[in-house]
Amino acid sequence: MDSFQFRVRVPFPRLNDSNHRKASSATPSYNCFGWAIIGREVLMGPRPGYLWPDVAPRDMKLSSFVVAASEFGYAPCETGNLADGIEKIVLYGLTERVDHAARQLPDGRWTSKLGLEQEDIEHNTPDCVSGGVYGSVLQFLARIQATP
Amino acid sequence: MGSNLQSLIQNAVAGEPVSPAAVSSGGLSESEIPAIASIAAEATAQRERRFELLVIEWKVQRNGYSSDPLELAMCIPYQKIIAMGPEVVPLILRELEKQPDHWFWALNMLTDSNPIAPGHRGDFSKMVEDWLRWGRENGFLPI
Repeated sequence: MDSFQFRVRVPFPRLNDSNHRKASSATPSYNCFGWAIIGREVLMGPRPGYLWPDVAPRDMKLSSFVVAASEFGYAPCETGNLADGIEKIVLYGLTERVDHAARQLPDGRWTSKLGLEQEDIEHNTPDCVSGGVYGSVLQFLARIQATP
Repeated sequence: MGSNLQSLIQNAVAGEPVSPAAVSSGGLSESEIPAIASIAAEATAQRERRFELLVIEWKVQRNGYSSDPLELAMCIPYQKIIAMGPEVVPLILRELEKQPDHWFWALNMLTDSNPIAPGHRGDFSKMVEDWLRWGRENGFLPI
């Protein structure tokens, strides 16, 4: 087990040898919310200097993130199943406070930026990063896929 | 310690030059300048050592999996750095320049400034550049 695998297995006990891969080097330059919701390497959140829609309350509540994500076209949906022409994200938390977000890739796997200073990983299902420091799935959201 | 000497040392520790004029206006002799400068230099070195140790502690203790900068800022070593007061601002800016990291919260708290241009929000490298520019413009970093 390399040092990356050794490091992620404690905070994410559901990761195993076959359900994820490291997809970037570690960087402090973006976080999971920007990576998942906006879809690029930016810092997003209700904090000074971070991207955050004016219409959304400046706190970490699920309801506030749903409002923030709605500004990027997302609306709550029931599942994380892959659907043609639909882009999905998922919000995680230990309580009603949002601790993490991931975005579905076109092949149905998911991409997560870990923290403010770690790597991106690609994981097979939303559940792979549940059960640890990010808690469990709080909400799936979906939008119509943007025309390339 | 006389109040004049105390005040001169405090000013010297804060980075102000120990000038003969200030010494003489404080009723002290020029022979006391080296002692004041020495105390100030030692205090500065101690502050720098404490900052370096706290930065290391912060990087070890912080929750590396949090995406919320407030959680990083609530980490005790980070709070201790903020508690060092405005005199730590040049050290933070030098650290930001050397190894960019999430110092925005501390800088915002300590300076009551937010030099990040609206169009740069969320763009880490531009946020760093804006703070370093602010540091140069306000005399905290060499131009």
